[in-house]
Amino acid sequence: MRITNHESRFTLRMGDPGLLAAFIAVGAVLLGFVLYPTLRVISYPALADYVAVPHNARWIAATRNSLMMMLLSTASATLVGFLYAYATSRGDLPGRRAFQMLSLLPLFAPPFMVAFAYILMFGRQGLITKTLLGLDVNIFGWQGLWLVQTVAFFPYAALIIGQVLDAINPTLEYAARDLGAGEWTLFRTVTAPLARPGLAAAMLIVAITVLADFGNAIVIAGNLPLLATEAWFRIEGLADLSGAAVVVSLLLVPTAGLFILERVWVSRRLYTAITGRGSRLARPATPWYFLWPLTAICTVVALFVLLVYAAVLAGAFARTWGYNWTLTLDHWRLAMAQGGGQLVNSVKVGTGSALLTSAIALVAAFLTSRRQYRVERALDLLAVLPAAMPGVFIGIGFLLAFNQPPLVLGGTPWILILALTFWHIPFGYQAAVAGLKQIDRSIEEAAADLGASGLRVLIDIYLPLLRGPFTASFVTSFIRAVTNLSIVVFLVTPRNLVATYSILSMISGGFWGAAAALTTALLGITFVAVGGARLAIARGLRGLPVG
Amino acid sequence: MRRLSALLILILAATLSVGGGASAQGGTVVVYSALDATVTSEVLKAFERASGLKTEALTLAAAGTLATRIRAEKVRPQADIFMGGSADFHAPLAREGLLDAYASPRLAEAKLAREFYNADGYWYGWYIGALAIMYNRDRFEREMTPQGVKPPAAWDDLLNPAFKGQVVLPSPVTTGGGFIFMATQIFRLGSEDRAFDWLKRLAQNAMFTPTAPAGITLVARGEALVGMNWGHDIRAMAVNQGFPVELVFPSETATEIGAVSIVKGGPNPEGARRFVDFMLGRVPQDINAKYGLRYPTRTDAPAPLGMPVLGTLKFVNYNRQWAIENMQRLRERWQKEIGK
Amino acid sequence: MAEVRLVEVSKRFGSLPAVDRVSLDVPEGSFYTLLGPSGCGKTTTLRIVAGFYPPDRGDVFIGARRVNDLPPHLRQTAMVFQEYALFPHMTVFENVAYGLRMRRVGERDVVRRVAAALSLVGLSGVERTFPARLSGGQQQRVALARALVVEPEVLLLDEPLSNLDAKLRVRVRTEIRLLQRQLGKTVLYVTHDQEEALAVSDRIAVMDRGRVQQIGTPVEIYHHPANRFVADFVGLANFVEADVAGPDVVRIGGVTLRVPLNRTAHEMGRGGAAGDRVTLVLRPEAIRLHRAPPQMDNVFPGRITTASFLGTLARYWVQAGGITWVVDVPSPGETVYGGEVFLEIQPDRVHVLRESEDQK
Repeated sequence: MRITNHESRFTLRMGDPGLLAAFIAVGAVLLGFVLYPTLRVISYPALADYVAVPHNARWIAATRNSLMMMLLSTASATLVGFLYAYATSRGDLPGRRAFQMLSLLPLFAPPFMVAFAYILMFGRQGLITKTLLGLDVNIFGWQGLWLVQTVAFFPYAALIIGQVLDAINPTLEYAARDLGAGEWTLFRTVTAPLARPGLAAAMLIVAITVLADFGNAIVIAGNLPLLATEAWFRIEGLADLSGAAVVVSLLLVPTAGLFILERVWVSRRLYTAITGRGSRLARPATPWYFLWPLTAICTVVALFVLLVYAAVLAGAFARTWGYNWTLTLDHWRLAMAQGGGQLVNSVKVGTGSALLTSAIALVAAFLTSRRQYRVERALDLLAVLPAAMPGVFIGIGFLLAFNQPPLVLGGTPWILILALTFWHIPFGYQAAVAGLKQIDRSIEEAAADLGASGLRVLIDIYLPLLRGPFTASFVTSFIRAVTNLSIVVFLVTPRNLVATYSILSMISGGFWGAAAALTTALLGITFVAVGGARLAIARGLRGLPVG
Repeated sequence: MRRLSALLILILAATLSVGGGASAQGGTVVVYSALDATVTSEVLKAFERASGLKTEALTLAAAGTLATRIRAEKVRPQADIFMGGSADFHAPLAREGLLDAYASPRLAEAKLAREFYNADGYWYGWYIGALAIMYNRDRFEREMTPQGVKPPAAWDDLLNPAFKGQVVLPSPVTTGGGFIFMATQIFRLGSEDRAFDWLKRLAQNAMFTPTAPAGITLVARGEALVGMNWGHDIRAMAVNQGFPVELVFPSETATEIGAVSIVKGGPNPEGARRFVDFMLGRVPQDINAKYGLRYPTRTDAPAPLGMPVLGTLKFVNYNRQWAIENMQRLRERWQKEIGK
Repeated sequence: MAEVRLVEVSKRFGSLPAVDRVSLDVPEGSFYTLLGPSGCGKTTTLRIVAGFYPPDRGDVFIGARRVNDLPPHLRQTAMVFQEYALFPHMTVFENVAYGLRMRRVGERDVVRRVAAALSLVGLSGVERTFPARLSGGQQQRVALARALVVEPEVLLLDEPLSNLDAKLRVRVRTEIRLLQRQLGKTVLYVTHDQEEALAVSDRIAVMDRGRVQQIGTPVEIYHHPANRFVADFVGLANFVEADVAGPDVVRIGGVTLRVPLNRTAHEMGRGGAAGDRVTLVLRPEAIRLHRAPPQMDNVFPGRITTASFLGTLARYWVQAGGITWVVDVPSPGETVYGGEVFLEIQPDRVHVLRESEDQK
């Protein structure tokens, strides 16, 4: 039956001129804005530069350190994410909603500022470590980075694993208990094995993110050379664009490898787990000896997250953190004077790129939904490829590709908007693909049977039905766009400065208070915009539950 | 449905309006500034008042990143002016043909010393910074003074084992200050190999930050005990902000020359030349002295408030020409041998 | 209105022959059913008619026109899907109006025709409701109205009742049949439910493994199945291996029966000769049970092993001559029998299959 449906979709779309045009258009932009910059980066250095890599001790060390951090942080972030997701999947966890919300906060946080907040809290003079616990610890180095990356990236793991856990039918739990399984046996024999594909997917995603992590590494890593920061060092210190291209190309090898692993090995199993619609049956009560430790773990993790935000907030209002706690609005005055307009630009750039991302991703997902023919699979690959690329790679790629003919975007805001757009495409694309799988194919056939052309089917049927994934994609892309630094730092233009750039420049100048104030404002705007987007899109079509 | 589409299109249209022409405005000078936001905006405001031209700035206290952008934008330069950052960053750009030579008519009036400008007119120095040692007074008095350790006053004091892991310096690879510090040791100790031996010992005591100001923040907050950085930055970011930080200019210190240069092929060459003329005047140098505490290159401009007069500092015999020519090699050597 | 004709139509998916040389003649205005188990090719055949798949081989005609290369919406067909495929984000009105809008019908006509279609299926007053709020039966009617409103020449129904409960299924199928009569539409109907097929069809094509096994009226299919598959799939049957012992005489184990072999011999094209093996097809109601042995042919003793009361009839499993026979006794009243009984075979109700057909 499945085969027949694939065939049907293709036949229906085959001769449709509108869809053919859409296919060519989406294919062309993906080729132009994903593949072309990639090739530009890889081909920029001379071959000899690549050959010399094994002789460069520092790069070898950086590679080794990056891989080590990847293993450590991935293991810990996935573990914490799993425990957190497991805990929040229990209906009777006290404060479940609050815990869920809190776990999303690190995703909103712009880099630099968060890492700095950790120094304020956990450094040698940290509020927690020194003032509260009387410890003398050095946060700089791999241990500190490990802690920061764990807290920064566990939400990714928790999100992915949470989806899988939620999809596990509670009836299975009842059945296992009915057959005599205790809580631990149930967890060991039913929940954990069913969540395994989610766990694997989470690990791979977190691993890619850790490898590409730039913001935390540059503040916390201390003397530890890492690939992601090394690229920036090449540019900043040695003005060596070619060397930077070599380093980001090096970085692309493990990220792309992990990514391929995720695609061919994990995501397929994952889908089968997610698409089975979870029943609305309430989960059975969790015994106290499970519930209490889980609550404790969640509380500790959530406190870590909250502390970061508290530090940023306090930094924005205290005259001098740690020395002079007098409340002041001076930082706000400075932040608004220097960065007020940039907040508006951030929102514009974020909105524009998030809309473009979501729209292109949705059309691409629709066009490749059969994945039967080679062109479709090629399009599919192009749409997910950017997920394997670190931000610095995209940033350098666009810098190299679009500052010269045939397409000169340098100096316009478009170079930044488009870089962010295409970097985030995979998020929107995967959401749309998952959404498409939920829609019975006969709906498309019915529309075609009644005379709708391919594009009409897309506009009348899929667009409205996929507004759930569309919103999700928009929100994710928006947050990532307004908090991005790794791309912004290469592509921002004087006329269209964005807030994260100003935060960076304030930090560079030592204006931590103003940076904290601007960060707080950015966070506020992000929260409002995300809430507003959800509301607006939900209102656009009333009455129906979001898919 | 239709309303939704309309809404989306509206938002998109609003976003696109960010765009507009890239470099259409004729009266605008685009400045890439490697100084802090306050100094940059004050200087630009003064220039706008004086010239009637408009300015746009990309401000980032990371001269290397800006230099790299200028390289990447070679085919279609976006900037007219590269302002701030050590001449070490400007000189290589000139060598690569990315800067325009300009013989400013105001050079004679400015009476700059010979070492403060490029003879061909590729860059002009308009401020001077000097390297200094800093330490956190509170922590020092609490932890070191009882042990009989004296506050650091010379470069060799940075090797004191009592400070192990507590010394913070800007990286010689990624920062101009760090590089000048590394070169200073070569000139001071008389040979490159001797200097690297010394630096290896230092590296066992120290942590290196990727940006220069980061180290000041760390010492100011007591995360680190001792550090090396630009004297004016230590003063502005730590001392004047009320942090318990002491500032010492060691003998055998060195300076950077903060430069300004014209990007070749920028959108507004005429405006760029007027900007350079302006930068050789008193006004921007006084602004920089006031907000950035950096020394002016003009002899008729007063030293920054609270800073020792430049003439009282003791300098190493710094061969700037040699340092710039060997910069890439020395940085590679540092990466290879010290690797931090 | 139009007839539908398939000539030697074949379709493969990969190496799998889904439809194998199928030829059908659907007369104008008839209710024509494709019946078979899942995977038999009936839905694929329907989709070929609808235009969702091009046939690999053969031709499809609607009316006088060969439609092989015509897209679905130009074929004058309309389809009702198994899952209804209602657009969940559109109201009932918008759903039904969709096909008209695609045909650029004027707004006033749209309103009029949607109202007419909804009233035709007995569903006025829910125009502004979303499909999710309707019951299964109501959704089914919306799907039907959506197909009817575009005034197709041929209505294609793909298992339209499979998602309804048993009672509703019977009611709706009767309504569909009445509607078809009233509108005189040609209907091509796909189902795996043999009872449903028998109840509503003018003609039935029974399919198995991509091939048409038999085409006939419901009565022909039930009483004169062309082969064992059809006999087995349609209704319940006892299959009994028998040896031909002489003219109209067969032997099953130790029991000798008189059955009219001639008629089947005529159909088979050759006479039954002694020594041939045949398969007898006996519907459960073709056998009678007696407490005492009646004085007539074709009677032999047996023992009831299991009995099942089904309301309008009682079903017995009777052990006799080494075989278990399934026997239906109509109107059982209050009594369900057990123990020793005598089976009487009604000769004119016996259907005979030749060996070779049996093997099919």
